[in-house]
Amino acid sequence: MRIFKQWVVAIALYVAMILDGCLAAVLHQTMSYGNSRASLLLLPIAVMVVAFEDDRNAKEVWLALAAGVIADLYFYGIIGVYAVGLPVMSAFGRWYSRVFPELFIFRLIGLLLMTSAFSVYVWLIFRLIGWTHSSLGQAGMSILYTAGWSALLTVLTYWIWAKLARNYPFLVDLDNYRY
Amino acid sequence: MKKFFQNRKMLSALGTVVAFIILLGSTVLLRNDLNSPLFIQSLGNDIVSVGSRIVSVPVGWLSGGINNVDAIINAVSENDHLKRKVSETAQVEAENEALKKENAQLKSAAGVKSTLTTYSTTNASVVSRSADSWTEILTIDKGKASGLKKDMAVMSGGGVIGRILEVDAVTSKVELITTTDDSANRFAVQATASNGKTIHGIITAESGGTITFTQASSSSKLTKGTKVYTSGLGGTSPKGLLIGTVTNTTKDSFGLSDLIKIKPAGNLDDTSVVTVVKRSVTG
Repeated sequence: MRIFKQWVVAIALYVAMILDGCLAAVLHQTMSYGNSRASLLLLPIAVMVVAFEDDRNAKEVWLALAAGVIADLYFYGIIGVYAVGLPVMSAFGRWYSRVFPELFIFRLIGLLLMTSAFSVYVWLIFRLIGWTHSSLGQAGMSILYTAGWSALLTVLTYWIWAKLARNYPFLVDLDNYRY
Repeated sequence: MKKFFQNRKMLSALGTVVAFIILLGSTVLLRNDLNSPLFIQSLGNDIVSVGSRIVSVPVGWLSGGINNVDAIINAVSENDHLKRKVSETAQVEAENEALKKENAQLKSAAGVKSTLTTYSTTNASVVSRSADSWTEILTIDKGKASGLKKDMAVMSGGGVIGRILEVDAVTSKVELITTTDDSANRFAVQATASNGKTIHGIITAESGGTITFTQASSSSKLTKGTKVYTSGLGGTSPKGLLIGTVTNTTKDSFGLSDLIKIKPAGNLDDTSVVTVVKRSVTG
């Protein structure tokens, strides 16, 4: 049980990744607007919130890297999309939480900035390897929709990730501080 | 420059960027070239898919419930449409049966066991979809264990929706026909022009989710409503799978060749169940 508690956040990120795929299959039509479509970024949001709430834990970056590699292989079969994006988001989240006030509105702004930056990065990578021919205008609209969906997902799920990060920090044995 | 090489942080940052570029490039090449993914990747995908199957069940129930409400609302108009179709079905069925019998007799007389039109099918459920805005990849719950192979055609809602991109032990990835990926394999297709001539070509996708009939083998015109089928010439998909119908014909951006736009027959948006088509004739 002691070891399980240390891995709760990792398991939660695994569930977030699965939910990303399952919900994308179901909400595909709802998230499409003309020629543009919003991305479902539950996993990046979870990584960012965990980084906000557990900003002293350097191991979170390694967890984000591992989650990124698994997500890349599962969704695309290549490494370099989530595997780069998630550790960068985690590192940014830890820095951001130390610099800006611990208020939800500031966290939401930071999160929207990073999810938008991540969407731009994904678009650039896919343009580079020839997986998409979407123009800058189309990409801009998709990023705008993605920001909207990310804001909604953040409002709905922030408390879950925050609670998990506070109560079960990754690879930290809280039982050591009990007595 | 000397200062740069003495700065460890800068050097490690540069090293990380170079390492990721190499990793990205090599995995993209591997993905395009390998017939089956590396063992470790396949194992990882199958482990993740176990969770996906569990989670997709309640998500499916929830989504199914909402769809059922929608279906009840549309039930009356759908019922009228189906009644009209049912009256035509009996005649088509009888004709189909007679043609099948005749076809089998002719094949037997000619000593032909299987042709490009012979195939078997496997049904699969969609467990997840790529979550980003730009790729069109589905994950289905059937893989190598069910006899699936890379590049097999996948159908849903009466038409082809894509092809198998990657096969793991118990799951597979499907790339939709609307993908704009430059490295994706394309379907070889055919259609009958208004003058009765058969035109061959391939299917390519434009950004925005439209598909087009390109590299047409003849300048004969395809009129609006012409059905486009797979030709079986690509080596992986059988002949006669419906791709879609021609919506309009325009000139490409250079004004040189025809750009024939096609409305896909398959349901690309609501793909909860798909059918994988296994061609009998190999090569």
